[in-house]
Amino acid sequence: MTDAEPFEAFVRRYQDMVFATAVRLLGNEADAEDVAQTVFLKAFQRFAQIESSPAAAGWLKAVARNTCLNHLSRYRARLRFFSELGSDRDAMGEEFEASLPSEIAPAPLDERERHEQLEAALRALPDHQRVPLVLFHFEELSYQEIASALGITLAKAKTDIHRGRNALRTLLAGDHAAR
Amino acid sequence: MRPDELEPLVARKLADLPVPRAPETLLPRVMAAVAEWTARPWYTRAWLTWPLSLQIASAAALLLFVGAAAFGMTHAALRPAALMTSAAEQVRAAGAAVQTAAAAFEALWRGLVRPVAPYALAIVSMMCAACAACGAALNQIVMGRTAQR
Repeated sequence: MTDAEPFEAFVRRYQDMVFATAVRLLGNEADAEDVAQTVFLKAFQRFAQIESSPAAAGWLKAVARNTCLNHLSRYRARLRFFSELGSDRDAMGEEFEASLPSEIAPAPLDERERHEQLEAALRALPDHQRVPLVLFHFEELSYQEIASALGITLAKAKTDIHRGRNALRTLLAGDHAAR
Repeated sequence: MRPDELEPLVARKLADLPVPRAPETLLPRVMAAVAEWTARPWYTRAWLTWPLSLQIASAAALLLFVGAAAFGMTHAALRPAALMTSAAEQVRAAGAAVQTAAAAFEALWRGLVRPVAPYALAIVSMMCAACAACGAALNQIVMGRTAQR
């Protein structure tokens, strides 16, 4: 069996990357920590193969992404249901946008605070908007790949991503104006 | 903001976000989970994580088991045919015994019964005729007495 020390160094090297993928997809730090633990346990079981592999980071990212999608799959039917309720979904989006601060006070916000606010807004998006948005912008999946991964149509993937961007628009517009 | 400005703006802003830091508790949790997993007996882990020698041995045992099961099922499939063969043999044997008995009866008939059969038949016929005559005479006597009463 592998020694613990090289594996500990391995976890230290990649833990932020795995956690970031998980927390942005799941929008929840506790769930993200559980998923990250699962991912590293899988990595430990194959440590002999991936330890020195240049594809280790890609492998970890893919496993983290799939584990998150599996984690979310139990809610996927509900997600689809809400997502396909046209007017209700619009109402949810509007409700979320209304919950964002309409006026971002530019002066007191430094860059770190703006980042924290955007990160928080991203995590607060409804699952059906956040997940495809994160897959597109952070995981760099195509619309078609996102549609396949989530089991939805291409048009719906595009619509959900667009609505997710729209939901962040108020915050970004304020930020944009502040510069 | 125009719609065509939205996508690049979101992409740029999200790309600027720093990578969220993993909590301090993650590493100890992972190492504890690894220690717990390592302490578990090999047979409670996923097959793909078993030692190579055990994977080979278990695969061989599985093949042996499947082979034995397939052989057993084939054998079971042949058993009715074997039973039918056995039944046919028994019928054939019974037929042969009947044939032997018939041959013995024929030999007995030819050697012992047929030479005396006409005489026996004549004796039996005479005895039957005597019985009939006796019966008729007896009936005449009895009936005549009854009629005379």
